[in-house]
Amino acid sequence: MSEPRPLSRRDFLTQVSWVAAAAPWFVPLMTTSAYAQDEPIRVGLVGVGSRGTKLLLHLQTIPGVVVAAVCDNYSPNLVDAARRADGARRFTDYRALLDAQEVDALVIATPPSSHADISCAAMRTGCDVFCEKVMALTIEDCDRMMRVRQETGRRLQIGFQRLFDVRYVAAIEAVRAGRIGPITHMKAHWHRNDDWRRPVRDPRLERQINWRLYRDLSGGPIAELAAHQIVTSNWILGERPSRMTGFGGVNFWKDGRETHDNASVMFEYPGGALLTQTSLLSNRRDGVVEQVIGPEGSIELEAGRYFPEAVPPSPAIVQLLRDLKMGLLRTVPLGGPSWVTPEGSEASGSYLVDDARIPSPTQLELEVFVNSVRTETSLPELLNESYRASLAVVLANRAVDEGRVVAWAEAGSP
Amino acid sequence: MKAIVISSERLRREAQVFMLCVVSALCVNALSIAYYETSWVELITSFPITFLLSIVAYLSSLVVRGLSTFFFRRRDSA
Repeated sequence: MSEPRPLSRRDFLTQVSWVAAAAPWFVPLMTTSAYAQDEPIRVGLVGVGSRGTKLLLHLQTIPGVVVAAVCDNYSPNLVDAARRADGARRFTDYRALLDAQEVDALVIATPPSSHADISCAAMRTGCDVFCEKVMALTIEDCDRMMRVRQETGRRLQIGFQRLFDVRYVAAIEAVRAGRIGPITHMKAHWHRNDDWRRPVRDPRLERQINWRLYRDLSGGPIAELAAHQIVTSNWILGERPSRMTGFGGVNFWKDGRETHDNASVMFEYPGGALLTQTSLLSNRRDGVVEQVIGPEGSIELEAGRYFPEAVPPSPAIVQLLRDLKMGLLRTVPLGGPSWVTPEGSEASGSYLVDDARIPSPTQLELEVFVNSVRTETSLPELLNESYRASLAVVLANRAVDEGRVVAWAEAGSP
Repeated sequence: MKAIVISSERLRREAQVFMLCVVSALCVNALSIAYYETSWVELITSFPITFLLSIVAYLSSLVVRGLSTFFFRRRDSA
């Protein structure tokens, strides 16, 4: 059997045009050519650390995009980015970059605490904005970004790349086709085993480099990790949680950090479905898993695999051998049938999309952004998903911090 | 060094025993298909498993026949 070839743009646009039903934000890719180079889009990047550099590399592969400026207040990152983006002007302050008025769009990959200020300033100077997730760390800042976008009419896109993952779109299609029945539960975890620290040569730069460990700069694992899974839950269920609660703390990396190294949060949706999510920095065995569960089956989103509850029976001869073995070796429960532990299914599931042919979600989200800038298309559904997820992150952190159940009404948003 | 000679008669008998094992395994598969109410196509699709069972049955028969020959010879020589 021949190896599946990578999914080309043409494949993507023609063969998976069904994505528009579940993810209308793909429309700019389908209705316009991504190769229009007559009017180059001049893009500036603010924050060119690890994520910013990744975005830079993706942007450089998009035809018609010129990386015109890079900005960072940490000089090693700035030098490295300027080396990669030949010809781009260097800035150490985003305000100077905006004052120069040399870019059409701004890509922001700074700590979340600065997202609102930079985004709002950029939109007020006439720039369209792509800002990494989460929108902001407070409801007021999220609302401010939405308000400025409304006032200026600029485009604002938040970098939740899972919204551009074809596997997730296929999962939504499967859910809507009734393959798992009504969603009753969603289970997600993001487990890793590292301290999330980066080496710091000068102690004065500690907060600047290790911003993820400080609460006034970062929302911790709930904002950095769980946010990706909250946005997909909202998207798949088509609604935002009605209330949430959780716990979190530092139980392993006791190095003076302020953000959690373990957190477990639970979200209840209006229809009754629950999302349970755990983030852990001290064990990676389970990795990243997102499961959508219903009475007819379940779907592992990140793997794009579908597991029907009704598993096709094994061949009769296999059943016979299994029954003979069970008859000879089975364990006899002492307390009757209710004491028998239910066994999970051993079915390996089936893939919803050919894994080898999935385009990079980050590449797609940037292409959609560039095309929406070029065609002046607004993507309200996309922004709404990002806004709701960002609010849910703020409220979940509040629930953990205050040890209580927090209702969505506290966000002051419908 | 003594040459090991397997007679054609012996070979034919072993082939017959193995065929008997194959047919028996196929019968077991047919009975299990009827019992578990699965598709009769499994007579073909499950043939690798059936064939494996035939080999297991043949090897078992070799052990049984070898042991019985050993004990009968000892009794005759006693």
